[in-house]
Amino acid sequence: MEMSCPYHTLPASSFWRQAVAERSVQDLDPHLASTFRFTRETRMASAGSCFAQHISRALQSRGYNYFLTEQAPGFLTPEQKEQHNFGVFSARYGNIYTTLQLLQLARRAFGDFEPVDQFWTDSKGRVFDLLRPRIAPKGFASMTEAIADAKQHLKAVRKLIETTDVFIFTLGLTECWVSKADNTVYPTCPGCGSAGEFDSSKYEFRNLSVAETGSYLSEAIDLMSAVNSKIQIILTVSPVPLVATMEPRHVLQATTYSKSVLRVAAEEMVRRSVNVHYFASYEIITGARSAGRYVGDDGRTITPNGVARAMDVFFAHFTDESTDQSDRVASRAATPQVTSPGSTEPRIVCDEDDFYRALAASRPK
Amino acid sequence: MQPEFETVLPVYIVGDSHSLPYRNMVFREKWTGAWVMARSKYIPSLTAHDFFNSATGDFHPELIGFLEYEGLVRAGRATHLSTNEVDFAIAKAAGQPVRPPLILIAVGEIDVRGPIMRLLKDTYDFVPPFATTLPLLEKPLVPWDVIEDAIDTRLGPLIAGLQQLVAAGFTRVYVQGVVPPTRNEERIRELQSYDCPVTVRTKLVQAFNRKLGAKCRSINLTMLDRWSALTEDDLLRPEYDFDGVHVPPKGAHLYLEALIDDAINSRGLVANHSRYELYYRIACGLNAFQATEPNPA
Amino acid sequence: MAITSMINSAKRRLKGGFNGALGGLGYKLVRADTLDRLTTPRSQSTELLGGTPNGGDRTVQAGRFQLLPSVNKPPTLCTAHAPKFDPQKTPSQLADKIVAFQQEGITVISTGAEEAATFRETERFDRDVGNRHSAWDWAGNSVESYTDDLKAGLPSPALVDYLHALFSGGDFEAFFRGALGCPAKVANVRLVRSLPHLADGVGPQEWHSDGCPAGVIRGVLYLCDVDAQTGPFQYKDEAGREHTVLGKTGDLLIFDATRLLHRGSPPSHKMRSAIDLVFMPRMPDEDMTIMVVGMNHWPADPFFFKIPTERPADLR
Repeated sequence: MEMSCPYHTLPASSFWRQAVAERSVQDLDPHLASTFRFTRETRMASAGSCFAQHISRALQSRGYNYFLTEQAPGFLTPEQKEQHNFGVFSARYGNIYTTLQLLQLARRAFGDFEPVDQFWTDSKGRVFDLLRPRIAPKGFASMTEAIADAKQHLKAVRKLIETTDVFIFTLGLTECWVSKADNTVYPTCPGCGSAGEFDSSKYEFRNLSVAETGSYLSEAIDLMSAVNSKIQIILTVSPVPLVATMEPRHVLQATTYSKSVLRVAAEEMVRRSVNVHYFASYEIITGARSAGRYVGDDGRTITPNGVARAMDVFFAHFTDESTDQSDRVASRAATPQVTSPGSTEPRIVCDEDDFYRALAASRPK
Repeated sequence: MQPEFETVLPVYIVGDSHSLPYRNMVFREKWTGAWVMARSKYIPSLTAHDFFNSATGDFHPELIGFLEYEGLVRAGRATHLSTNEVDFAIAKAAGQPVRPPLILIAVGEIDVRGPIMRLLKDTYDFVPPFATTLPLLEKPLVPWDVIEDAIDTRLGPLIAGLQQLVAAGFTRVYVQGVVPPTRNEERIRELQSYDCPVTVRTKLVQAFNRKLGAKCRSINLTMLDRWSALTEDDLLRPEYDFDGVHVPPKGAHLYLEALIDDAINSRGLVANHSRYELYYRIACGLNAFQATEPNPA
Repeated sequence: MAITSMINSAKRRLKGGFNGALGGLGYKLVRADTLDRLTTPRSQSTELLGGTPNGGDRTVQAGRFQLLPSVNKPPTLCTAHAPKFDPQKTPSQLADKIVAFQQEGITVISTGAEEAATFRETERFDRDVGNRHSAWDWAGNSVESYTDDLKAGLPSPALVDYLHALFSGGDFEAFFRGALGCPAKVANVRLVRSLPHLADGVGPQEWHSDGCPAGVIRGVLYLCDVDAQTGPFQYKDEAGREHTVLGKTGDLLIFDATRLLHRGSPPSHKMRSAIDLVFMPRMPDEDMTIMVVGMNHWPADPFFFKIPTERPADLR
């Protein structure tokens, strides 16, 4: 090869053979040195899909300044805190799967959007917030309480956006259900989980395109940056495949589409804004080299080793602990970690359990 | 001239310090003109939570002591339903009708003002599951379900104990609702060593009473509710604020009146079937007290 | 009577006014509620003595701070101590009536038709069914009236004298000894006039069981001919079959109001006038008495009670 070939000057990380083929799974780190690092004093907030809960949990367990704007009352037991979704994320918004959902949350927090169809009352008179269907384990006791809680929550979200130093967002899905009345997007299809009743005259399916996903994300980032000039945003794509697709195609195809769209959107934001960064959890878990090692037998559940590996890489690159990470990364990778049945780890709150239950309940006997 | 005398209708009142305003109270009720007399027993620090122990089946010792002292219980049994010859002789000597006694239990205020209010203090507010005129403060909210769990935990032993009282033959038991709390924030600070706004305290009492009333109804008992008479805009009227905790005797009288108003229309419970069985047997020439002692093993 | 049907009945009555609805329900609850709701599950036997929950059995000891269960329930049969009547051994004019009562729980005895007709015209049915004789030592109706379809009245002295003579007579003495096992006295007499109405019956016009105490049986003396339109007495036997008791002026129905589910069916077209009676045991050394106690039923304690005084109609 002539000396004038531009690839000649690239680092090893640019070449598959050196960066991937010749690395073991434990050594594979799909990042370059990060341009952004946070410290234990940095105020860290997070949101996103189920996978995002691993990040919030890791930040808290490793002693970082995880920013909570909706704190649990001190007298709640750990069970009560978990049931009422305190501490899962920085505010009690539940899982946020799509960029449209993130944008609408931000707009609602600043009084710029008020959904027409937000609350649903079940047959026992319990009221559910369709935008946060699992936030109250049995639903709210009254509409007054549901509305008051939502109002307090939005205040907390606003405070979060205005004052956090870092916001980590895990992009989860492109498929979603929206209200035909005003385009309100719901985290789950009403009636297919904890709350709501499906009504095709009220709700419709949408699979966000590349353009839509990108534009909603861009608008959300712009809104946050406008009210908080110092905010740094870390984006990551959830490696967890779709539990189901509403598209008339195989769920594996639908998953590839979704994750591709989300990855493109994340990349575009990183290229567009200096305060946006990318964390490659998706590549760590699903990359060819790992070859399913970090995924359970169902092809979907991320193993504890996978989660640990992703978190180790995250902290290695985004904190000032990087020099200490290599040993921890190596030893953790070498040691199989299985969550024991009696583990007291709080569980990841995912909506798919409710989805499966609702699905089973609606099938003809 | 023979001195005139009357026998009164006793109402047996037992509870925490909210039984004190009834002490020595006597009044003529409007329905029959009978004199009603409160026979009260103050059990210091009695709470709904300590009223009864479901695990052991024991009531608070001073409650049993009171029932025994008043002759309502002997050897663990309600005397008014007893077919024992000794109890019959006692009743005969008294020469007065043996009816299921009217009993009023006054507990719950310490449960609210103690463990439950301490959760909220001046830090939190909550939205009760009923309409209220009281405003919601700009404070973090505690989910209603959490408050409800706390109330249920305190009320559980009381309700279990009331069920036992009913099963023991005391079917005319009433429960006094917790009185509305004082508006005097300073007094609360003095008592509790922390602040808790009157709106929060009042909503807590309202919520507690609603739960207490519903649970009483579920076991066919009545909670006496004089909230509207004691309050204005849901806050305690100053004339009923005796010392920052209790209502004065005229406030207690309102509860006793409510008890009488309910009892006069609930006399389906008043017939003493045990005594009728004895009476019938005697009228038929049978030995009413045959085999009152257990057969030897 | 199921609670649901009581509540449904009360809801229908709401159209006639809130007080009426509550009153109707309240009456029913006062009369029959101890059977259905307020009493704990019990065995069929109501033996009180010797190994019973109410003090006969001293082998069961309570813990120092415990209470043992005690039951205050009416019996299923109010005449349990009446020996089986043998008309051969105890001849009586009303022997067949005693046998019928023991077998069916009800019997009909003819009394003076002329006297009954006279009383129908001369007695005053000028009160509602609110209880102006409420007393703490009597079981009875609510203070407020629960319906406008029933009028009540207190018997005149002449009627009281007539009834005293009637029930003191040898025939009725023998009847009560046979039916109850002991002599009887009258715990209450009240006049009841049912106005014709098409709405569902309320209070005593609904199916119910009275929950009478042991030894207490009821009577209804027709002061008019009673046909199907006059709201005849109805009862259900042990098999659940409905029976309607038509009758003539002067007919006296005596029945075990706890054993039999019964009602004074609502008259549809004609007014029904009757005397409502409560009989209770009488001690052997006691004279026959007739008590008049308004809308009360029986004393709380048969051993000790006073005759209640009447209060003004306008006292609330």
